[in-house]
Amino acid sequence: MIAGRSRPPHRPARAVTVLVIGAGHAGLAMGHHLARRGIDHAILERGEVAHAWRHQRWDSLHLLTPNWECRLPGQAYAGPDPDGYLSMPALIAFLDGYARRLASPIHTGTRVTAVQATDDGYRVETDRGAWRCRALVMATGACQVPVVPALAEALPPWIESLSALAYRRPDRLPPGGVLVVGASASGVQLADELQRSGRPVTLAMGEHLRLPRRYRGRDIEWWLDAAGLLDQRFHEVEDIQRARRTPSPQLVGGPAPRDLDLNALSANGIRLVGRLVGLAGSRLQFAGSLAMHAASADLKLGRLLDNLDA
Amino acid sequence: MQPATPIIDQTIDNGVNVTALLEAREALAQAPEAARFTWRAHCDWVRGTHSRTTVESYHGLCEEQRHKSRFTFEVDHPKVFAAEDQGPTPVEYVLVGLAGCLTAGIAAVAQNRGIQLRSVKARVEGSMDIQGILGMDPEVRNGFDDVRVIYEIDADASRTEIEALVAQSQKRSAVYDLLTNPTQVRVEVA
Ligand SMILES: Cc1cc2nc3c(=O)[nH]c(=O)nc-3n(C[C@H](O)[C@H](O)[C@H](O)COP(=O)(O)OP(=O)(O)OC[C@H]3O[C@@H](n4cnc5c(N)ncnc54)[C@H](O)[C@@H]3O)c2cc1C
Repeated sequence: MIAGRSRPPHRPARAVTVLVIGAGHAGLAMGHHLARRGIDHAILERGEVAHAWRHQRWDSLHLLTPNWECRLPGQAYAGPDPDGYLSMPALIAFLDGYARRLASPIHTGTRVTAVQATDDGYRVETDRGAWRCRALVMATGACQVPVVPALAEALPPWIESLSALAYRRPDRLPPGGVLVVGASASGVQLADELQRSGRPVTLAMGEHLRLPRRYRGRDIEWWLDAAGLLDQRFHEVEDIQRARRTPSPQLVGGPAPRDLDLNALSANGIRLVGRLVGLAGSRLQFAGSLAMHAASADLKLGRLLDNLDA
Repeated sequence: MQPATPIIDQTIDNGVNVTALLEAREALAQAPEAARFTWRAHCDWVRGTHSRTTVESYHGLCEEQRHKSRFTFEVDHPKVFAAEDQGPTPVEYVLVGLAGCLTAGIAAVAQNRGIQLRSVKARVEGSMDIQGILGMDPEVRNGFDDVRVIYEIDADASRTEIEALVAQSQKRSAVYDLLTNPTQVRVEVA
């Protein structure tokens, strides 16, 4: 993408030492550390602060991580319910407050369109003028591009298909049954919500991470934190590729914490099938490996709980 | 906590050369084209439902390869299908393949994890409704609608460790993958 071409050439690029792209958790935390060290910088954000949480999440979503775990450098959750789970409006307010207290200049409504390395750093093109910087921090998020199986393109036109980023609530979908593909955090939560709205729901699942919401009287996140599992740095894990492929856990937050594993899902009437692997005419094909994935998730969970007990 | 890299106990011997397998993995990472294999079988019709299939050559590691000898398989249908029963049915060969693949995987994973196996026995069953192959009901599929493998394993390991062996062998099994996922198949007349 060479978007800089359309800019009037006489307008000089603004210069700054460090440029941060993205005003989500990562970009804002970076701003905090840069400001503390007195390094001059700016944050560019295509939308608003917490853009992803405002525009790419469904209405009922609550964080699956408890409030005490909401901590950014210099700001921890200080509300009345450390064991609760933030709703989207509450999380957006939390991030807005953090951004307001930051000393960082945040340029919202500024989309980065191209980045080019130069002799002394980078030239960054945006839809509102160009920038030069010595160092560039890409904080554009890891969940911005949904993974959609290629066969979605070949679905018959009478089947509406959408990604979790575009889903908002059950009544926005055409009437009828729903197939949810993927049974990690988003998939199990959406299957649960759709089923409760009165629709028949089928959930296609492959490898997944089963976790109980609570274990021995505490939230499972407390145990993961206490065992140091959340502090593991990338160079400390044995196989980083595998660690990066680890799916998000089958957990749900919200006002009434509960389990959302295969037992809970099927007890609620959701039909569980294997991975979506093919489309033959207008028939979808599912892998026959559901039992294997369920057994291996149970083995992994057993090992984790044994380690937590130790 | 377990050590990050398993210490391979030299006294464990399941007859699997894990070192060679791990070395092959490293070598293939450098030369991925060598990892492309083609397996073959040659079939001759004998009479009725009886046919004879031989397996001898295959392609892999960038060249033609040959088994130690030529293997011959009789394939037929049983008397209840009004046939001569000169050999197992084709679907039973599928069970043979699944059992062989999973069991080989169990031995390899056990060796890698330092688990001595004493005996590994599997019962493999596939069920089908033959109304499918007889064309009696279009809603009934031709193939298996359920396949079950039940392992009895005697090894120096806990039940959980044995279950983990069985789980891992499924994850890396070619035949398990073939049976659980659709595969592109083309059948042509030369
Ligand atoms: C459905 C869902 C639920 C989740 N629940 C939890 C949870 O309960 N607990 C938890 O800890 N984590 C959760 N996560 C993960 C969490 O969202 C991410 O880990 C976190 O948002 C990462 O923050 P970030 O700053 O890296 O990225 P983001 O928050 O995605 O921020 C990236 C920012 O970059 C901006 N941007 C992108 N491209 C450009 C561009 N070209 N120019 C300018 N700006 C750009 C975006 O607008 C956005 O504001 C969830 C994720 C999803 C999808």
